[in-house]
Amino acid sequence: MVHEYVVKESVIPLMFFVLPLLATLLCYVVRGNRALSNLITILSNTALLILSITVLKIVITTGTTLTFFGGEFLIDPLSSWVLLIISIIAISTSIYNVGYIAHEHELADTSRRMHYYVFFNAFLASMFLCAVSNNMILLWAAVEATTIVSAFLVGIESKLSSIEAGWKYLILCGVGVVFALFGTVLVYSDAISSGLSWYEAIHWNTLIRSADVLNDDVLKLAFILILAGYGTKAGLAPLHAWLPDAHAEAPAPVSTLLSGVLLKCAILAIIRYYALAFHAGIGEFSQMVLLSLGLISIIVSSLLILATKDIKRLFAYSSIENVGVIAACLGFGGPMGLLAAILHMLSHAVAKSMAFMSSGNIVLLTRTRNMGSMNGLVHVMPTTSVLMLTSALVMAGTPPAFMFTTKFLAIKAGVDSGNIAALLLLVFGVAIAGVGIVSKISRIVLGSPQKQSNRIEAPLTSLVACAILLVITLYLGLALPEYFERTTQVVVTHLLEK
Amino acid sequence: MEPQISTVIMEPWQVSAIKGLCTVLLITASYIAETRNLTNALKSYVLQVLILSSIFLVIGVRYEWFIVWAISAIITKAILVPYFISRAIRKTRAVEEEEPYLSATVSLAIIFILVVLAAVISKKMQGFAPGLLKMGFVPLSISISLTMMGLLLITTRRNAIKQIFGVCHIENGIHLLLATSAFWVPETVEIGIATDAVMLVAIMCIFAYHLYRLNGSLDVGKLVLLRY
Repeated sequence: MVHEYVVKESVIPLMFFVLPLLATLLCYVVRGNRALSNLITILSNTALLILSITVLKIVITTGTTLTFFGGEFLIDPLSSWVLLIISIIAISTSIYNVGYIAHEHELADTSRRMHYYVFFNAFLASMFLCAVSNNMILLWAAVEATTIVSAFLVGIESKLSSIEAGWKYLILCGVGVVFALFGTVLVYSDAISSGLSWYEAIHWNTLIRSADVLNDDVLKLAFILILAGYGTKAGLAPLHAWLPDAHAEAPAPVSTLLSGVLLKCAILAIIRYYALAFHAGIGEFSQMVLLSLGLISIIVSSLLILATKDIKRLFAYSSIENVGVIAACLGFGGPMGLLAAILHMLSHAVAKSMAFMSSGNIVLLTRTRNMGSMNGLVHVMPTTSVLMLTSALVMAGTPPAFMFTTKFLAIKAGVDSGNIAALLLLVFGVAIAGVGIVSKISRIVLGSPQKQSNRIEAPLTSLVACAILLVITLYLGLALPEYFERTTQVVVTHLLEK
Repeated sequence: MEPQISTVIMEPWQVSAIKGLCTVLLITASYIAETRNLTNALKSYVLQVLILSSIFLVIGVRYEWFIVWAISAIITKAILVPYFISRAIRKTRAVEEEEPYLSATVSLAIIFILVVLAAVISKKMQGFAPGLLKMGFVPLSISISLTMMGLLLITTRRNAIKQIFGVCHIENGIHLLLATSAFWVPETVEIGIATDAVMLVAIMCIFAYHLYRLNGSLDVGKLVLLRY
């Protein structure tokens, strides 16, 4: 196990930001040419995936953290983990784009398509920036930037409903996140008053080393503000009002990114402060707050899952539930809680992306999101429907999917914490949500179709993208590889040990 | 790395100037909140940003990097943001905002309560987190007031442009907070935050235009498609 970390100046952190920005620029230059835009996006994201795997390997095996620009950017084990999650989902979504954009007539207009690809890559750039920010105020600015760029994508179809969703998203997230900045400034000013230099006070990797000098009461207040801010962005109830609207109204590939990875960027910020709280000696307080919000999110979302008739809102509510599970794992505390949270970030990203891609395929073919008007889809679109049902089963945490492993670990973290009441609430909520999703999806997939129609299938690339994610979730679920386990152990150790 | 310095040194005239300018900031903010004429609100907003920049210039007499803050605030908030908002006002042919949810008297009373509340919070912070009050009690209290007034505008006004002004209030509150409470942060941070602010307003103006195009008005209260 690596404990001593060597800090090395490198341009790699910058690459994660520059590559997608370059793709953004090139997509602008090709002015909405579908083939070229797809090619640029896929090539850029392939390079980013290779880069993120390489970086993860360097960081984990050699114990080096990479910094750039005098420590403003940093890749430590947690960043490299989040970079991996973002790049896996980014490449699969880029492949999914190929068929989806060709068949989505709302994006048939060349100018709108150009905007789509430009903002798609810019959105990725902003998320990568979140993952590599070491300066806590810049991290806030990066999170705010993700809202601005993705809001454009939410409203790209320019329908009244998508504009309404985008407006709500901008107001609630753009403004909600302000609380996090107040919290950040509070921590910063307290660190300065405690005798740290501005450099030590603003950078996470230096601040965490001196966390014990911070005033407990100030940090508690700051933690609540930060959780209110980043919690809004992560979709934790009761701050989740924007999430179902934005995730449901956005085009399917954007919903995938919003749900699969954007929420994880907010979680990353929360984990950074969670570790800070832990080292400052207010770990129990932060756990209690996170556990409460996590459980509220799980219960509220599981009830909403039962009530909804909209296939995309169904999975949006399920995102709230899973973010709740991650928060609850952090709330259970200890290395097991953190490990479960970190693994669940990946398993949810993969499973939810699959679910949004599959539901996107169905919406593309049926032209409706209302599950009440769908029935017996398996007879009309067999492969698409089977993938949809499989996604629902994966989301529900059915073995051997990786989601089963991570939900099991969440329960183990609950048992270890000894908080049985909270554990029971978690299991109850997760079970209701799982049953809700599987029963609703099986109702639309199975049964006999309402009217006879010719067989159709979603575009091949859309099915392939989904299948790639299915393979990943099954592979991780069946054979959790040793290097994978070691990686997550290092991420946890690095956060919890000085 | 900078040497360890945490004491901010100000001449008495600077302290009084900052206090005075902060008070004027509050008056412009209340005017923006209460006037129904959007063009007047925009003019008042430009004035508000110029006052904010003057605060940075006063600090910049001793700490010269604040001159960069002032220049960046003028470019982003006194030129770019008003440009986007005035374009949105022109394109949507908006002159007056729709009837707000609250009457002017109630709204003014709430603003008064918020300002008092912000003062009480800042006073509490004096004992609790003295680091926040590097420049005394007034700037922190005004930055909290501006943020809360922004939230008030967003929650109680129906007009999309008026809600954008709410966001602008919050951004100015943040800017003042960063300058006075996060004193030693490098300029890159300030530029990052200011860029975000401009982009947020720009994209909200685009949305406001589409709202007008699709719905025939800027009344956000009419957005009810996604309630259920």
